[in-house]
Amino acid sequence: MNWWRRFLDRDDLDRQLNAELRDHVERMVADYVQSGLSEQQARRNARLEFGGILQLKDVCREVSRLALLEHAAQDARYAVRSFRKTPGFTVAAIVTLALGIGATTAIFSVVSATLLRPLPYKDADRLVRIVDHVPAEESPSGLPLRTSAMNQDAFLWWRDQTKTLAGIAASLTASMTVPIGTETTRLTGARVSPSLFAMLGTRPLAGRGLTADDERHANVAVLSAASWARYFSSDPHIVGRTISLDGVLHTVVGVVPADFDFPSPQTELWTPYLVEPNGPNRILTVDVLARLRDGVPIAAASSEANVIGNSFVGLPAPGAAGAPNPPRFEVVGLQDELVEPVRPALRVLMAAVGVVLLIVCANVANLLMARGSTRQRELGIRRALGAGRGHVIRQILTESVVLSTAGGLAGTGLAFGGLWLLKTLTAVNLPALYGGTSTLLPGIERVGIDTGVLAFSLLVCLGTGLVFGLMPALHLADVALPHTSSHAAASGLTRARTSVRRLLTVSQLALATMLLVGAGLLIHSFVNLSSVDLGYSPTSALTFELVVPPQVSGVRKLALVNELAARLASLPHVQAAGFTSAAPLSTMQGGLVLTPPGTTPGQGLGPRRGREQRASLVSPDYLRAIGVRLVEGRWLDARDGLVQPRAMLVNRALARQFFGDKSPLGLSVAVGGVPWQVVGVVSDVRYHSIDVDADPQAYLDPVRMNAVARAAGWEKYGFDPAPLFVSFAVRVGGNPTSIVPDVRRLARQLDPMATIDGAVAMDQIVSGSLARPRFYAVLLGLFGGIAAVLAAIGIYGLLAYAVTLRTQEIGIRMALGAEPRQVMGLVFREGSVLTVIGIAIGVAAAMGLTRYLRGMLFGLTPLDVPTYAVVCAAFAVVACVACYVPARRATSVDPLVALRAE
Amino acid sequence: MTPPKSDLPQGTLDLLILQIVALGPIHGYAIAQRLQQISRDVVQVQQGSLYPALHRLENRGFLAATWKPSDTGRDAKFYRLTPKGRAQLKEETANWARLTEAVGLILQTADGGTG
Repeated sequence: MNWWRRFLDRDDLDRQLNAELRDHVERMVADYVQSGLSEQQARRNARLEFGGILQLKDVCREVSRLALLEHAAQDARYAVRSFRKTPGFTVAAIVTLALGIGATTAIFSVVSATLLRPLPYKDADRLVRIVDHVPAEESPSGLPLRTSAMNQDAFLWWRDQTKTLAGIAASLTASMTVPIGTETTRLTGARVSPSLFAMLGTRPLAGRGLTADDERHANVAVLSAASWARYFSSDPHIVGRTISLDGVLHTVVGVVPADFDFPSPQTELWTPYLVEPNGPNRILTVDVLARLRDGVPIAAASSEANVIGNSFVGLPAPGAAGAPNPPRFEVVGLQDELVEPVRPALRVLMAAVGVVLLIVCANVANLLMARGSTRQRELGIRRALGAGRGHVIRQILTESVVLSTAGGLAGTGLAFGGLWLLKTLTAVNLPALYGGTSTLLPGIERVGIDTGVLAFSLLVCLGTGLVFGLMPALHLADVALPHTSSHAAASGLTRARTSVRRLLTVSQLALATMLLVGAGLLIHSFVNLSSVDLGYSPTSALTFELVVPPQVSGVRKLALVNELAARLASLPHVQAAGFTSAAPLSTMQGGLVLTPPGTTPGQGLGPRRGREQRASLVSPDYLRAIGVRLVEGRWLDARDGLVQPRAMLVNRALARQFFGDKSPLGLSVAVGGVPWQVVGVVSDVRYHSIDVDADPQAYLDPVRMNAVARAAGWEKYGFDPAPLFVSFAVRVGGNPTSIVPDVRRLARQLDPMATIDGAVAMDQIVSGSLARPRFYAVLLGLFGGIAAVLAAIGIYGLLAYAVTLRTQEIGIRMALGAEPRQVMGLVFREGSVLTVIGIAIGVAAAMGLTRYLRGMLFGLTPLDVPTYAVVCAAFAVVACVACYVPARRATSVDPLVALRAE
Repeated sequence: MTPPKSDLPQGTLDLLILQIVALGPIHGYAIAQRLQQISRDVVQVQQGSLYPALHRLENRGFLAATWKPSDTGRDAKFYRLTPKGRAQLKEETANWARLTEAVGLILQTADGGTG
């Protein structure tokens, strides 16, 4: 009757079947012999009559297999029925399992794919980057910098010196203007060393990649699969077609597949780039990728890198006195380098999801043990009615399986939802100038649910279900039958199990507190970041880049941008419009060097120390368009371009640094060798990033700067009077993006070759630059919330169960005159003691662990007292509510009913 | 001079087996013999149907089996009726009686109609 044992004892069953059938045949033989046949004849007859023994065996086996299924189905039906009778338990258990499986699967799928899946290149593990750890005093932002970009002289030096690298390729991203049909479009292009294609081992979809020959005839281009489809309708004759890039004709030589995503997945076309000594673009830095020579370990490449790198930047050779320690240069695998910025976050996520999984297991264990205990009567009765020990165990196991299956199904659904959420949260969609369309977790767009991970989390939950479902079942099955119908006999066991459950509940509370503190810190940090004074007001401002072909330059370009600014200002709803050479939070942060008062020009050009002071060019209305506040003095106006004295605005940081507490109005600062008079002080704009204080900054009128430069003869040094990069800002009453079509039309009217690119509302840029902290805060907040709810369910379950067990005791107390308040206190006290212990342990653990969050926090320390206080208080309130409900129920015990229950 | 053989209607084999086992613990071969004797050779059960039926009844809990020493000196698998099997037998017997009565009635009326 016990299919479980039958299932395990297939061999034994077979032996029995054989013996039974042999017995039958022997009896037939004996009968034939008795009726006078010879032994041999009898045997033959018997066998003939008996027919195909093998076939019969198969049929019999089929019968028992069917029975197995029938019993399983019967048990499953019974399980479903009993779950339906306890919907609270069932929902809690399934939700718990689903959360555990879903969260674990989604996070681990992403992490394993990001950290472990090889990049889609030939021998991708041999591709490396040369990383330069730039110390704070040499970095433009004044903060230590980790970069794998280098200037072109450095690139040539490395290329000539290296013996450990088999290939080294440079790339430069550049937007290119392409006329397609009647529209002018900007494509995200990359100018790359042609050797890159051979280095990555790309097999083109059509035509060829770039080759060394292309260094000589540079006017060729390779398209991405996506841009081929999008702009050329996948034209099969694309190879050999000519297209105009920035006004220069290029021949398309090939199309590469979608997995060729270097330097970024958004790259739409590639043109060859040749790094030459003293080339025209030598001031631009290039992104460098290299391949290790066969057989060379990465450590050897790293030590060579320090020899080459130190000699280039003028540091002593490694090992010599004064050489940087730890070494400044490092050769890092491409994949490691891609993951580097998110590695701490991935660790925190994995830890968080691990904690959630632990809480889930504790909760499932807790729920099942509570259920097991309350079913003592039911199971006892079933045993008394003749159900075998095996049968009871089988029933419990089936229930665990049914529960895990339901949880698993819901969890799988949640995993897909979680993956979608991760992809949405990590996607940043901004114009290329502001970091472009990217994702916080590299490669996440290719990630699917990892079946291995899903199977693992299903197994963990199933395992927990089985173990903790079985524990009470085994005890119950062994309890002597006549006693099971009373609570008293099992109370010893119950007590032991209750202490296990208390332990589980306290650990849940502690783990949840830990997660909540982490989440609280990240959320607090996010709030700090989003309430930082940016120094300007991004709401209702539109920004875009004016793009003109290289032929439109110099005075012509300056006239064009001035005219555009003037026409924009006359559009309806526009409050102010202007342009600049350096936009907040953009990658383009160039500026002119300031000469501090009291120093002679030229001194400021030495090694930079601390924060950079610089001047950028702004048209008279630009600052008002982005909502900068005037602190004292006046704004620049159109006359400042023409009349003496040369007027300048400074921000408060510069005023403080150069002039201390006295008002800088009327004082002067030298730029380009001539003094400029401060006419106004404005708020500090955070240019580099929201979490970095504003640099000292001055603002000059571009027309005026142009006149100064011409007078000083700067044109012969390649100074372009029009800012190289022209970013516009327009302040609009209403939705800023609604005027984009007008802007596009105006630009084309002024110059048919002009187009606008990267039009975006400025608050979108701010929001995009908060994507990473938002991602951390949301995700950890989510996990913290889940953990808190699960822990609340845990403590609720524990107390509710305790009340059920103590119904008689409570009844007696009330019959003897205990007040409801006292009864409530009885239950509540147990809950609050556990809560206090759990939260205290959790806080202690959090104090030890949250230091790993340090790099992710802004404006607070990992031991931020208010965060701890708020989190603990809030969680304590939740836990108290969870305790209150069963405590309340205890007071509604009817003494008569409770006593009759015995 | 063998009497004509009859095929058993669907489901009746189970009933017959239960009835025979109800008389006392018995092994498979003896059940086949007994069926044949009682029905005066009209009902002959193939081993191919007997053993699957026995196992099915065992799995459903109508029969229980034990291995016991038998007259041949070997252990044989003896089947006996469980309380559940006894209840089933009672119910099936009643069903059978109702069914045969109904079938008999129909056949009688049909006879009358043609005759």
